[in-house]
Amino acid sequence: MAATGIAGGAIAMQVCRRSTGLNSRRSEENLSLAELISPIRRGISSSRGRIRAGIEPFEEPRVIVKESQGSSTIFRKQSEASPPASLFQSRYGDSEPRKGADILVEALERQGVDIVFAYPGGASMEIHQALTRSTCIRNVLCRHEQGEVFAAEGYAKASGKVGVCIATSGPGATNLVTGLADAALDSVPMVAITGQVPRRMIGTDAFQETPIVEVTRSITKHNYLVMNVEDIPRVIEEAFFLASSGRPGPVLVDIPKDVQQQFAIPNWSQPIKLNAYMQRLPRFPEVAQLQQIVRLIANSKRPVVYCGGGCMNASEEVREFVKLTGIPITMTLMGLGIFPQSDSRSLHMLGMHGTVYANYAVDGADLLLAFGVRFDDRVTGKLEAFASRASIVHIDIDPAEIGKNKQPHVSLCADVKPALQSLNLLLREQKVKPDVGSWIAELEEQKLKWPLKYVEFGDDCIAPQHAIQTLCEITQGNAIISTGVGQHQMWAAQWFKYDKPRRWLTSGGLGAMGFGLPSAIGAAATFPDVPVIDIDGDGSFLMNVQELATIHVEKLPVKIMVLNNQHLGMVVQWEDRFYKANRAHTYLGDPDHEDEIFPDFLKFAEGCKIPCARVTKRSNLKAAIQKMLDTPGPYLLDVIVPHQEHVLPMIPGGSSFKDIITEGDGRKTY
Amino acid sequence: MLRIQRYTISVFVGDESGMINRIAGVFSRRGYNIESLAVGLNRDKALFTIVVSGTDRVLQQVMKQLYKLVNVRKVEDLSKKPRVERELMLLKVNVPAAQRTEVLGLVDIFRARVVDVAEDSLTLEVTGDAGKLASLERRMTKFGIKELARTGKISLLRDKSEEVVAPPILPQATSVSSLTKVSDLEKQASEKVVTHIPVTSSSAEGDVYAVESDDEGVWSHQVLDPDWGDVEAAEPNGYMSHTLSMVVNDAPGVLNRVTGVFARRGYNIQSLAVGLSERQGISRITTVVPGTDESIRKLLHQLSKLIDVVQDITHLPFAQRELMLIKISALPSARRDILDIANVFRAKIVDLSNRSITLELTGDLEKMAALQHLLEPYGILEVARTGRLALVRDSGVDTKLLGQLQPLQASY
Repeated sequence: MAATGIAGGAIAMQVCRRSTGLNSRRSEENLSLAELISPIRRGISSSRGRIRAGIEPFEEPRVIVKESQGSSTIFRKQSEASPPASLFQSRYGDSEPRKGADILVEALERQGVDIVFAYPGGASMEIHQALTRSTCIRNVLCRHEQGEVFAAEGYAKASGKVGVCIATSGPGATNLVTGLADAALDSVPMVAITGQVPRRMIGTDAFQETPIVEVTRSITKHNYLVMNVEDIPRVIEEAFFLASSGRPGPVLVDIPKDVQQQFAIPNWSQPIKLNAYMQRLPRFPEVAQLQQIVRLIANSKRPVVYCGGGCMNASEEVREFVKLTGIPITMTLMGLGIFPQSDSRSLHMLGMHGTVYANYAVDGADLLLAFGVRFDDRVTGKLEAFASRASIVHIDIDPAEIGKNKQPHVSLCADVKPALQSLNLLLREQKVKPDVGSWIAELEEQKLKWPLKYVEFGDDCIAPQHAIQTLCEITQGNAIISTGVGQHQMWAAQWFKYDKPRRWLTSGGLGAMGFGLPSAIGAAATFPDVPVIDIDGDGSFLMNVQELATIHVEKLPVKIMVLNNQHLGMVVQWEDRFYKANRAHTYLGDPDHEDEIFPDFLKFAEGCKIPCARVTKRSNLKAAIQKMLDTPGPYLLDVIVPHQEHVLPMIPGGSSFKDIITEGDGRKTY
Repeated sequence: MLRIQRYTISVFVGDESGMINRIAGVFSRRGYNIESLAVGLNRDKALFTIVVSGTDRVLQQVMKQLYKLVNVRKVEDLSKKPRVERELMLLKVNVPAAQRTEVLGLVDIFRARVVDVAEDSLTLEVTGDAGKLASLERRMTKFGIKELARTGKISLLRDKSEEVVAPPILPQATSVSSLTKVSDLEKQASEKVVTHIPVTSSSAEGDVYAVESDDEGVWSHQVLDPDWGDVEAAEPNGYMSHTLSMVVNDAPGVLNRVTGVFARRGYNIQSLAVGLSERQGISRITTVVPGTDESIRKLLHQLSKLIDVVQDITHLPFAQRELMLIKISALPSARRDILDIANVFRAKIVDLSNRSITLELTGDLEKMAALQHLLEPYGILEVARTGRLALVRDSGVDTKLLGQLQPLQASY
């Protein structure tokens, strides 16, 4: 299984890193035999813990619900039986008092955390002191808290585990806010830990004090202010459980400095207190409901699957479903990779910048199977017109999403994975296969009629779409791609072929520029063997450019391909189309020297000792990309592209499929 | 079905500091409109009764979004079920001596009670549903209403008489009175002390934040027993419950902003009542917050930055009232005893079935505590409480204080 494969890899990686001595902060004194052995044992336990906490988060509630109603007792039983409690070997004796910060770090170790993204400060330095005493947690020191929180997201999106970031109080904490909001909208499992001023000083507007729990209340799944050192083990366990169970999301834990400093003997067997939450976790889907869906499928003539980020752990099931039924499938921006794009049943992405044929299929469908999606406005456009001819089946884990934007005809509040497993079983048993032959033929015709396309303008001009296409050809799609936000993001979604899930890291719901480089750091830290490529725009890249220092120092092989058009491209596109091409602060170059490329990203890269190159001619592009991939370690490739290109097709906001735009660029006036 | 209606929902929340703010945040963030809100705090949980207006769809969304909060245990829409609804109103009316009889006649008709008499004003307490309160208010307008405070609606479902099921007696499901629990708490606290190891001086030296070792900050006090633990000025450091009265503009999100100040400055709210006031577009928030005079003074400064009028009336003579609906498991055999107790406390019976009785009681804190304590052996099924209301007594008389000031009588 994929899960064990990842975990096994992580162990090997940890051991290897330890032997090469990369974890230099570890103190070398007092190395006993037990300690030399313990990392391996710890490695095993932590990887198992990770499975429990992160990789298969959806399995657990099901087990609980099946067993009984009194879920808290069941959960306690599970955690007693689970390996971390029994196999985990603490650095401290059972009755040895230690600081709150050490308890915190041990709690993270017990959750199987191997990498944290932490930037120190006055109120969190105790935690960093404790981190240096840990032998199995590596800190990747990003150069900005926004970088670290995005990196934790990249880590979580690529690996499926809970991402962990740590920041200090005040400005450190507020710098996390954008990332927390991003994780909340994209349902990324993440635990953010912040230092807080000592308890006594809370509310006094002390130095570097912000009420971060109040600030983040509406952009986290849950948050905690830990006022008692004895609560740390329980709160951390709850935080990880909340972050990864149900609809995943960010959880913030705020710990005052004096709590970090207080000595205590932790009680690791405290039960978690989430009874009401656990009771509300979705049940195993009932056959009667599934049977209704089967009936709809059997009777449909023009069905289409619309799947999104909620299916990230159910890729196998989705593939099997499509194989069984032959129903064509379209994915949201968050769902790219769940179903291979090379398959003929794939209609690629739908929505505002989705393909014509995907939007055509949804528009003409008589049955829309919405799996793990939330009918976002970037997908639906005008709500009344979206899938207006279809019966809608909506499966989602979050009951609040069902009927929020679009009223489904059949809804099922459940985790998509078990729901699809049972659905596939029913389909196979009853040999249901809808007659979709003519529908498929109709869609194939649309595919031929409206392929994704772009126009080339000679050798002096590299079309950005062409750059991504070339990258895809050279890597054969075998890479983890991260992006910023804007035109380059949409092109990366359209022109790179994703055949596996968790290979595509992007800020979807929030659309946070500057996401590309830090999230690539998170992915590269977990998967050192897979090429990680940040396809970025010049505007987005500049927003977290300080992380160039991180990738050099942490020796992370992140490749950066900047599609540099000297403009805020997506806004320029909208200016072209709807504001008579009036440039309102969307030019990012140097207005006094428009013939020069500004800023010079190559100098940034040189300043951070990162090899780099710039390419302006189409004929040199392929070699330049090849060189980027062949150079060991990080690399920056600055690809100069024209700013007149538009992302097409395009359905303007609030419009419907009939308003789709497929032609034109910034060289024309509208 | 786009008809805008009023819905009453009850939300059962686990205890957590800042939880009022968390609930209020859902409403302000999603743009839902709270018409009234009553919070009854119990030992480890709170029951919010919220009246929202909107379409049916809005209501469904509100409930789903509330359910997403981790500490919310139960959300229930009471609007379509048979229920008992009560609201408490304190009303200060201008009454010149000549008109007093007329007003007292009205008081009688509405079964209101007079809680304070001054030279030219009367303070009335009245309970009932929204319609009754509105009509009393209208009657009194002609005399001139000086001040008005309302709690917001609380609601309990009526029992269906037909179901003769053995009553589930779950004393722990409701709030249990002080005595036993306080001792428990003390036991826990003393146990904790054993495992506590004080902060070593080595780490405190040369630290980013210098913290003196005494713990007098607002945070060092445990969350008080919100049930009956009204702190009188007994503690040597002057830590006691303060009653604050605020007048706020009736704008979306105002409750969220006000409670946010409490939450982030580390103050615990013991009681909160939000309701309309004597003027249109203005609401009155009455809240009870424990703290020292000094810390409350600071809190007032913070609050004054947000809102127009905020007053700490703790040290003024004031009348305070709270409303409680309490459902007791009562098989016909035990009914007589319960009714006797209710009589003594002047509690009204608002619902009766062959297995339960629902009582309505108004009064101050001690009275509620005493009644609840007496009824406990019978099995309390459900309790809904409003927050406390308080209006300054125009008479300038504090009965409690007067009692203390009475000269000691010589013994004969």
